[in-house]
Amino acid sequence: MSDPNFDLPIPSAEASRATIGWLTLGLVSLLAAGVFSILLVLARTPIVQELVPFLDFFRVALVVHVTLSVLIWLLAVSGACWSLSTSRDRPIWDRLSFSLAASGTGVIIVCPFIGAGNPLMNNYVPILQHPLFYTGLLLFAAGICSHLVRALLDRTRIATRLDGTAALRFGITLSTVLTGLSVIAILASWRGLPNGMDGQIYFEFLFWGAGHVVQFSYTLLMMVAWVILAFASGGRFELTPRLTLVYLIILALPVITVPFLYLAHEITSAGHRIAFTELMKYGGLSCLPLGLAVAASLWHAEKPEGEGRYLRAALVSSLGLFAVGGVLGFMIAGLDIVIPAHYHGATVGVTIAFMGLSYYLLPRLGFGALPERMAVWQPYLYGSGQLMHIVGLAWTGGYGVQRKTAGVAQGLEGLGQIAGMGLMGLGGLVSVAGGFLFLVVAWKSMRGRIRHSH
Amino acid sequence: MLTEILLFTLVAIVIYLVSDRIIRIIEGNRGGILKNRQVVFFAVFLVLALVSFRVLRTLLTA
Repeated sequence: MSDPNFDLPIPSAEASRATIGWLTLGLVSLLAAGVFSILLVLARTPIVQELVPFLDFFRVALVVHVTLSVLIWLLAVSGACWSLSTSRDRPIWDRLSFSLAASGTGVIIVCPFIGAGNPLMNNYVPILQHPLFYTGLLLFAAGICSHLVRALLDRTRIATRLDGTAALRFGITLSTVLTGLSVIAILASWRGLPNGMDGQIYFEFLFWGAGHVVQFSYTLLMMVAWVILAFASGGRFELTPRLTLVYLIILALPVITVPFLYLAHEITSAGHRIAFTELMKYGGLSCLPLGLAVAASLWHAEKPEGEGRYLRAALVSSLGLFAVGGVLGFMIAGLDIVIPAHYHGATVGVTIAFMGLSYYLLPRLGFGALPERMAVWQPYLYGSGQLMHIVGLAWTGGYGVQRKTAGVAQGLEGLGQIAGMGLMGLGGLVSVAGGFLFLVVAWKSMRGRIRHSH
Repeated sequence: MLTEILLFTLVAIVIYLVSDRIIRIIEGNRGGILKNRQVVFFAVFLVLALVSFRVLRTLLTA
């Protein structure tokens, strides 16, 4: 009988150091994204938006906010997970990877204050057309790629006797493979793009395939986090490690089609765009078996105590948001703001799972205990704010308001549209408060560090 | 464009190393490791990056 202990222990002191580094990078990127998000929310809230001429800065702030809160935060936490799944120490390599990614993040944060502008609102990795922004992106990408290769080379091998921890580590290794595939997808798109193409359309095509592939990696790690949170918070997670591993493989399976999608369609063709949209829409359903197993584990689960309280709160909020985002994905019709409602739901679902994973990891990495009450409230506050934000977006999207607009460009007319955007703005502010609360909780834990890693 | 990206990359790496050195000097003077080492490091890095890139931008446009 295999051991169903779905725990993620810290393999070594060196792995602990590397994990702390990547986790801190994620926290710094969220802090900076939070500052930019305040400006974003104000720029789209009725009445306030008329008082300040935000439109120009709205787009620059949106680019940096998305880059920090999605790309860097999610990949930094992914990097932390990869560090926990290595079988040997390589301190110099770890330091090099982290230094590259951290310096890239720093460069991206300071970009808007050095005069980087000319924003392009393409999907997945929006761009500021400025050498400094490109420098930041390249440095960060170099750090992630370096860490990815190291994690793949030193991955933990599966033993004959599979336990819960080994199943989770296998899931983490799968996520490195998927992220690696997304890097290859960028290179394939770059090779397939015609000479002379530039601007928004260029970056749209460049990141379209890879952007879709990397979502599978995030979802995979979210599932790993869900299992950890369910198990640690006293949920009745009854899958065997072997079945958990099989479900993780099923989740990653749709990505097998990616090389064929690249062979079948020109990068700039409508077929390429549609193929990846369909991959996401139907391939994303592959997360259902494990997702439902985790949801079922909450049925008749014992009342959590101690750290279980906030881990359960994070799990419930993440499940709820991800489910709403998933349902909205099937309601997209056209280019209205149901699209951001969908991806906010899905991405925030992943983000809350990663926040919960951070809560799980911080004390195990040698930091102090989390402030329990605050940590319990935080996922609910952040989740409910994001839910209001999403409902507001989806509601207004029903009236056909276009995405990535602000101020008068939104063309808000009827009471329904204004009320919807008002709800969106209020939800945005609540979720910003929830996001800052996460940083406060993490900060309090880090301040109470009980042993030094240096 | 490529030259600028290379220049910015080099400067970013130098800033990173200088920030690391500054943190080590502070720790040497204090006689102990800073409690929130990585957060302080990022603060130092961001300030240095802001100043250096502004100066560099002025030099490049001059």
